[in-house]
Amino acid sequence: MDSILFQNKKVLKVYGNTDAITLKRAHFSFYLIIFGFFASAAALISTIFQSYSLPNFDIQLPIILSILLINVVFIITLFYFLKGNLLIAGNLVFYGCTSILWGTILIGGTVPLSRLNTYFFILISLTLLPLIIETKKKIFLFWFFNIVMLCLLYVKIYFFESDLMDPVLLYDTFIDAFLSMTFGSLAMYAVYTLNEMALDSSAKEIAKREEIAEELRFHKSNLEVLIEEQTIDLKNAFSDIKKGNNELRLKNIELENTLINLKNTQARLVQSDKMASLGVLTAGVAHEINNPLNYINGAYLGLEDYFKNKDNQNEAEIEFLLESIKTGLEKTKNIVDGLNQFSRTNVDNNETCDIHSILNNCIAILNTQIKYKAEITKEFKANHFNVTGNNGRFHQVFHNILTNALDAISENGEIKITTQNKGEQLVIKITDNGHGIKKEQIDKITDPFFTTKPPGKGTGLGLSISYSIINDLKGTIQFKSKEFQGTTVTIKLPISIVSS
Amino acid sequence: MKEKVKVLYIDDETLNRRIFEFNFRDYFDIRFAEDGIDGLDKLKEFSDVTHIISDYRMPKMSGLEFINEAKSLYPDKLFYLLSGFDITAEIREAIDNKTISKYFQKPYNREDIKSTILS
Repeated sequence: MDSILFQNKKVLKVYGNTDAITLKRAHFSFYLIIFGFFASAAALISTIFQSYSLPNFDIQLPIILSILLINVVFIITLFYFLKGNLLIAGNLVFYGCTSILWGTILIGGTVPLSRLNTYFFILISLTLLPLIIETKKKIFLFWFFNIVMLCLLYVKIYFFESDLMDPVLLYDTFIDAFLSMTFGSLAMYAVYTLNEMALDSSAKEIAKREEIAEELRFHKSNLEVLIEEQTIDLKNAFSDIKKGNNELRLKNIELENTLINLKNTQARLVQSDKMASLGVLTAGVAHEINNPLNYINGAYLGLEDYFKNKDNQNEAEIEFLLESIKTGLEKTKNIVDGLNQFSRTNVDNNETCDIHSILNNCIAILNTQIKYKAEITKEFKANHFNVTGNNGRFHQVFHNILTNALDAISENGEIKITTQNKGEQLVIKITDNGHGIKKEQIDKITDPFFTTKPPGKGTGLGLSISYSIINDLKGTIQFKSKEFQGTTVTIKLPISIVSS
Repeated sequence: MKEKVKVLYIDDETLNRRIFEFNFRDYFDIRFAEDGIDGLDKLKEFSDVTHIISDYRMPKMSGLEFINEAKSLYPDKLFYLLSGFDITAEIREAIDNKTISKYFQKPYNREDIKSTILS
């Protein structure tokens, strides 16, 4: 109901911003004033009519005047209420009504009937009291004002209208009025105090609730901050992971590239190992070929001299010179033959390979290097020495092993090469008395790029390539070595089915 | 007749020594050694030798090692290297610091050796 009323246009506008208690006060005050206005208007009309019927019209005048004044006060009050000024309206109606009432009583209210008519105003004023009085001081003022007025009334009746009342009854009435006024004020004070305490406790309760709400808000905002922080952390972690992922992807690509590079490098190194072997080879071959060519050349020069100077005839000398030419030619032919084995480009593993002649070829090619460093002992005991494979590759294997043996020897070396048949296998053993291989290195010697030679001298691929060549042919290659004593390489190969 | 130039030829291969003898016996008075050690002995023995021609690759001691040692003992004598190998950095250095007067390559050019030694 309240809400409907205060949602009504003007009233809502006026009290919209005030608190609930003030609204309630305004609510009751407003209707009381309207009620009071109608009541006092009715009283006015009835008093006027009564006055006409009575012979002493004059006596009624102060009463009519007072009621009229009260009506005016009510109208002004209503005006202030509608304007929204609750304080002015409240005070106006209270003090206005009370003053008019007392004024009427004191000036002309000796007629008991006139006092009865004021009942409405007293009722309205008293009802309004709790609504208007908002301080303890006002309660005291109300009490004091009424006591003063009561005293004035007592004095007036005692001294000027003593004929109307028995002094004892007057005194008794005065005491009654005084006590009821005092008790009324005390009751009002009590209600006010209780009200204040209730308000205070509710305010405290509200404050407490607000505190809790504030705390909750704080926690909530804290929580929000925490959540935000966590979210940021998570986002960061996520972006970190994303970044990490990206990095991993890049690393992966890099690794893939490195792998490709490595493969390329390996291929190049395999090629360079071949080229290195070839380099050693050509230097050796050049020397080897130049030597027999020197025989031929020298023999030619000798023969030239001989035929220019016929006097100097010497059969033995001619024979020697011719023999020199023949030896030179044969040696050159052998070297070129051996060289051809290396330059073969066939990659198939289906050739019949004569291991003995391959070993001889390799010895011939390494002759220059072997000659001044080591003595080679050959014990070719195998009857079946043909295996299926690739001639060029076998040359590579034995060239590598013999080169390593030579590199291990500093001087006065011995290299022993033996072949023999064991069951279906051809076993080739190459033993040297070089500086050997350290115990901790023997497992690594077939690893690609592992080398004990100084940088630039070895690629570390020789034995790795040899190992894979032998492996491809279903053979095995083993290394036994003692440091400072020498190394034995044992190669086992399946004998070719079409062996001789 | 003018006395022939005395030459020491060092080579480990008999065939080479004999062919050298056949080719140059008309021009030089030739002594032979089989390797560096032998060469040093022969130099001590035949102090009148003025020109020494050595092979490069030999057992015990390389031609260059022999020449380095011999040159320090006999700085006035002239040393030559005769080898089937291509000229190497080591040989180039020896030529540059005058340890070796000239490098001959096998198969040799007889006229080149003859004119160098006789000049």
